[in-house]
Amino acid sequence: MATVKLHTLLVKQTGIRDYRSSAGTVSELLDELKEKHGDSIERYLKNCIVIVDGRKYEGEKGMRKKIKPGSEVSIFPRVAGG
Amino acid sequence: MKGNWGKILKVDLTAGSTEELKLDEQLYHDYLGGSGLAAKYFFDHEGWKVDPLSPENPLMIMLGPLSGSNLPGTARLEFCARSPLTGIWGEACMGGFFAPQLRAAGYDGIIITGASEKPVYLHVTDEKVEIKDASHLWGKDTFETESGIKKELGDKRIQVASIGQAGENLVKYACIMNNRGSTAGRGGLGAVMGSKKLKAVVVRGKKKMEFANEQRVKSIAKDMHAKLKVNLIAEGLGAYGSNVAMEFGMSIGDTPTKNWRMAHWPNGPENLGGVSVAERILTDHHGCHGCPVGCKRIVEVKSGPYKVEEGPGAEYEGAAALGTLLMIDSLEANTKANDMCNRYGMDVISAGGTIAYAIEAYEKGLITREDTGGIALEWGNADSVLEMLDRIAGREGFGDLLAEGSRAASRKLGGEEFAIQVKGMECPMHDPRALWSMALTYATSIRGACHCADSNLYTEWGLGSHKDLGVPQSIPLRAKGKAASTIASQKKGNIANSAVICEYVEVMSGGLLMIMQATNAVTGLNYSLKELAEVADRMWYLKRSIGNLCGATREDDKLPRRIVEPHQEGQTSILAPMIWIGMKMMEPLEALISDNMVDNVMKMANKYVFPRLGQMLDLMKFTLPWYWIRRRNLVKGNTKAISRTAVPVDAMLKDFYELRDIDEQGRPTRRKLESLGLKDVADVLHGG
Repeated sequence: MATVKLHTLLVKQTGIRDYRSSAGTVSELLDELKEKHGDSIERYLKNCIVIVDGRKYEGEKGMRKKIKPGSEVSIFPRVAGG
Repeated sequence: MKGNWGKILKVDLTAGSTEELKLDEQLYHDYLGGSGLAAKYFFDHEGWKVDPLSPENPLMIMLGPLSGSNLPGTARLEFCARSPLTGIWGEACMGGFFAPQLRAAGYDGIIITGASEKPVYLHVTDEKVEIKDASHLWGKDTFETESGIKKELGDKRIQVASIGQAGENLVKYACIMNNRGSTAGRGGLGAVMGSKKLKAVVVRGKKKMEFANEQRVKSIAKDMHAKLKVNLIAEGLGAYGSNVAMEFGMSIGDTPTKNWRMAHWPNGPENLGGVSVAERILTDHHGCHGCPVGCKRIVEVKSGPYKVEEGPGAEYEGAAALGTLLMIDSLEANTKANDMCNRYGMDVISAGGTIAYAIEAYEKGLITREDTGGIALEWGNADSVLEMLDRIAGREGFGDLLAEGSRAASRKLGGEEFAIQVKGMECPMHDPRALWSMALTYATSIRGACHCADSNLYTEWGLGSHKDLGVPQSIPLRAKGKAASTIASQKKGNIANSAVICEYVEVMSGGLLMIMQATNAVTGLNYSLKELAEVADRMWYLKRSIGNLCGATREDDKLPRRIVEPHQEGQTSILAPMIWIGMKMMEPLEALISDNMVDNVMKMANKYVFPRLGQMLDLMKFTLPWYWIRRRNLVKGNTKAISRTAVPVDAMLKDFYELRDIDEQGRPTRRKLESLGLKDVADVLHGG
């Protein structure tokens, strides 16, 4: 199982900060989130940035990234401030 | 003329007199307004010849054509003067509610010279202008001043831009505050007000500006509102404020920690980030006048040693500069520190940056507890930081030196290498090692290290592009293309700060094209994008030339090495000695070979070595077990997302100078200035 951390608007939308997942790839992980939280979450996952064990993944290539048991995955909606 | 009144209020506080200056329409066309028009006035009146804290230094409070137009993000204006902190051109943008009232008072700006003998405030309405006694307000903070004046004048709708004790005491990074949480923050322009004994500027008006095309303005407003309504960034800002950035920032190494020595500290975003604020202390949120985004936080710390009454909460910069930078992870203490800065009227970035320098000086033994007046300046010691903020604002004891900023303090005490500033201005909370463009942003920003002078922050995050100006997107963590994209970005920053419009709103609701359309609808000037870009360049080169006339050269574009080399602690610390040895080996070689050869080596390194450095280092995990152990056990978290190579800022700067046509002394060339209609500037700068 991997630890999944949700951030900013994903926390607001789902009400959770982290959970455990057995998804095998980033793509599966995002599908799992859509399934659990419905279509309303889709806009936050579109173009989101995923960090798996410290490495940043974006785009189609990023979706294929495998998630190993024990990994830490952070998902950021594409928001900005600063 | 539409969209501008065509007149500026000029106030001489020494004589106690006021007059109206009529401006030619061509000036508005060539400089737009805001900081552009202010720079033109400053140059024409030889502002570079006067001391920043002398009565002659003009304080210019300037609207742009969009200011107060009721379009989203346009309740903004610029405060400009020669900066007491940097000694060069100073400008600071303020949101809130002040700009629409100044517009409705019938002026495009106010220029204040001279100094009063006793404290005064300036009261401007569409019917009269008065200089009023403020002796009873002197010594009060910005919150008390604003509520005191509103009560005195019996009008809650007046808007007040005031200084607190920091401005009165000429703290070099004193700011100007409106509506408690809106700030003209950077460069110490609050001290310029203090030097004039000007406690506040108060505005109220009922005049309505006529636009060139009222219907078009309405339709642009409708379009902007529609875009903002569905924009994810707007939703994030509304939900969590600008501090929505800290969680992602920390994960990619963008949020400076421990005076820029570390890049990853989970305590920071977990406790100080926007989500934590929303869950623990948020009571409400709101926006500047007419803006639907609502990024401003209202917070309350109900009890405990860091109790804060309900009021404005920290934005991202305050959360980081008075939080992670000092290793403070108490949300309550951070909120208290931010509240103190708001009340005293001090720039949170410079205050945090200067205290971070002082803590490191204390750690390294350059100063002792005796020097600090008994304060143990230590990482994470929130009580010491709060005490030091008090002393800085009051210029008491050691606080008197820190009130001069980190550059001045380090020149006296030593440790200039860890005073993280450019041109005397402390760096904002975005790390160039994570976002390479920010290296050029800080090095070449007109007012010193500044993150608002251009839109590099957003393009590096992948939230905007320069296609509109025909400039391709540069690739993150690559030097190629950074100079060109920074120049395009600076054009947009200069337009935003002259039009004047919030950069968030600009990015979210149509970018430069939207500004052009809105400006044309308001003024009828009918700029093309190319013409607007030329106006932006004219302003940039004029301000750069003013900096040169104030004494700035290429030397002043240099960044502190710390913020471009791998981190000293945490995930990249093990690389620092290797990089340092490599650089030292290069030094004698550099002296022997030509500039072109250095260029070629850098180009090859950028093309072949740097892109593969990450892979090479991953291989090292297996050959250097101690490195692997350190990374696995000492540095948990998001390590690989962070740049592990030095930022090639010198190569990027070289490209920048070439593209910008900057000479060896750091001045725009005569040819460049003349091409923009700045022959008078060229004559002064290069000799007529």
